[in-house]
Amino acid sequence: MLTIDNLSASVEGNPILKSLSLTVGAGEVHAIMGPNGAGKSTLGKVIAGHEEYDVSSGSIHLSGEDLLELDIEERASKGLFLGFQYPVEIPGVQNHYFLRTVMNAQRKTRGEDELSAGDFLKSLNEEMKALNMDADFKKRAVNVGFSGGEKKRNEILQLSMLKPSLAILDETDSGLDIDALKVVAEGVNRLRSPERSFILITHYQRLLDYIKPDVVHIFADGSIVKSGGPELALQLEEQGYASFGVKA
Amino acid sequence: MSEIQLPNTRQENWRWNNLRWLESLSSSAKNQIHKAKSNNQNVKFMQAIEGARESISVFSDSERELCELALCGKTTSIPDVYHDRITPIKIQSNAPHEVVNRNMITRVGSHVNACFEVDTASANAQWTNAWVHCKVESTSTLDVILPSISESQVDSALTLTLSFDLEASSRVRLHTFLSNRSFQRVDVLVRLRGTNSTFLARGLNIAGEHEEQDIHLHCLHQAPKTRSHQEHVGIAGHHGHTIWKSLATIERGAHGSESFQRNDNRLLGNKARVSSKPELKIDEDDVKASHGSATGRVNEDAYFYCRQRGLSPRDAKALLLEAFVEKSFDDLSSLIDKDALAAKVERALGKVIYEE
Repeated sequence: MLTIDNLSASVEGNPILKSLSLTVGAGEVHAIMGPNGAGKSTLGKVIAGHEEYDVSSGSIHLSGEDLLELDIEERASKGLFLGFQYPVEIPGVQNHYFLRTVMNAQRKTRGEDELSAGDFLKSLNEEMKALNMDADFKKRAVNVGFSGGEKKRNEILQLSMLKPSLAILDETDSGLDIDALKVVAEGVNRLRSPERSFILITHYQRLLDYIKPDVVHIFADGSIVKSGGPELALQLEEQGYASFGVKA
Repeated sequence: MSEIQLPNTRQENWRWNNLRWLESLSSSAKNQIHKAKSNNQNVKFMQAIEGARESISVFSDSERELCELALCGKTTSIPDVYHDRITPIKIQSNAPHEVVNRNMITRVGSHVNACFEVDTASANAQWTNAWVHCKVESTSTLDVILPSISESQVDSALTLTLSFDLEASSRVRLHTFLSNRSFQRVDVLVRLRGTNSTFLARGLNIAGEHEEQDIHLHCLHQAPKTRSHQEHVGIAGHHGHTIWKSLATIERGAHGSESFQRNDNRLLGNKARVSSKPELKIDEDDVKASHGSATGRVNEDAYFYCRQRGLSPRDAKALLLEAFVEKSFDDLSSLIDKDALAAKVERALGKVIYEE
């Protein structure tokens, strides 16, 4: 599914990712945990193709496609989804209009027909119901006036509509109360499938109580310092980063 | 002899100067003008106008109206106003290599709801200069829309003055959309003369490559409890220049009046220019007035967000700019074909993005 090999990236000359390698198999859920400033969010943005970052070496392949050769929107249409830590507000653009526009843009890039209004609405209503979202969210401007929990739920709605093959969720649990966290986690679990992989970037073990990862990575100073099973997250919760030789 | 001093488009105050002298005519000058006009003696008529420029006296409503009529040798009056459909005000000019003046004066009677569309599509001259004056009588409401987004006269200039006199409890709601001419300058002069009169303005300038889209507003609060509310957005493309200048004057005696001005702009391309100047002059104590202006590029986080969701650079920018201009359409009269107007705006935006 995703293969990152020896990846190094910098912003304005400052190296952030340092010879990072990571493989995520189809259908797997990987959790990346690390202290502030370790470069976790940068990893998500570099995989997505953010133009602020310079990739100096290495490669990123998604299902055999060389992502570094593709523009941001081409990567998205190849099945890459980045859930934002701080979802952006877009005043003046209604949620349903935005979703339909981006879905059709991806379909167009893939050479598929546009989704009909009827099919789109049917699918949207089903997904919103599953996420326990009020119908009025459709007509509200994208993320404008949404609470923190509503914004994250809206990210999961987009994820469930776009049906990517790889979803990177950047601190999806931050700012969520326990009920909102459960709703978001249920949404992610519902979307787990043998064809879809997830990378969860998080600070806290509590998210992993609801979304069981296959692999946990400890991330520090731009690279992965240790990988293991779900027990690694519990160990980290108990002993802290220092026990892994990481300066928090 | 010229009818009126032709505007130097780069000269800030030419229009105010031209209006100001009207407010200083003597009654003898008025009589001369009236007589000359009645006798259809054009030369004397024009001489009377020239003479009137040098006169100074207190200016009354009736004098001013007469002089406006006299000044505007080609004045067209629009006598009938219907509340259930749009009254078109056509700014027409056909001579391709001439400067053309067109002036109109109209009155909206008491208790009338009216909607005017100032149609500039037929302004084909190299330079069209027009003046539309509307007197809005008490308790009337007037919607005015100026959708001056040319689709064929891109290399032309249009200078237009809209002036409104509002009597008690009347309201004017103005929407302006300027794009796709080399130069457009719209001056809006509003006199809130009656208690509880209200002026609302929304506008959009889209200045494409080597275009200058310019709007100046002057709102005079001359009576108690008057209200003005202005929100304007501008987009300057590569080598484009959008200008918004607004002055609200709250005169002594205009107790309890309120004024609000807001201007937001987006710059596209390295050579884009924005000039924004909100201004308040307040001569009374118990009033509320505020203003603000902000200019920047398209939000980079929102741009990345849209592209990550699958939009191309051009589509992402178009979506964000369409959202940015959306509020220009707020409060638009239901008589206007909003979809057709939105399509014109969308085409103008597409052109600006393409040129970037």
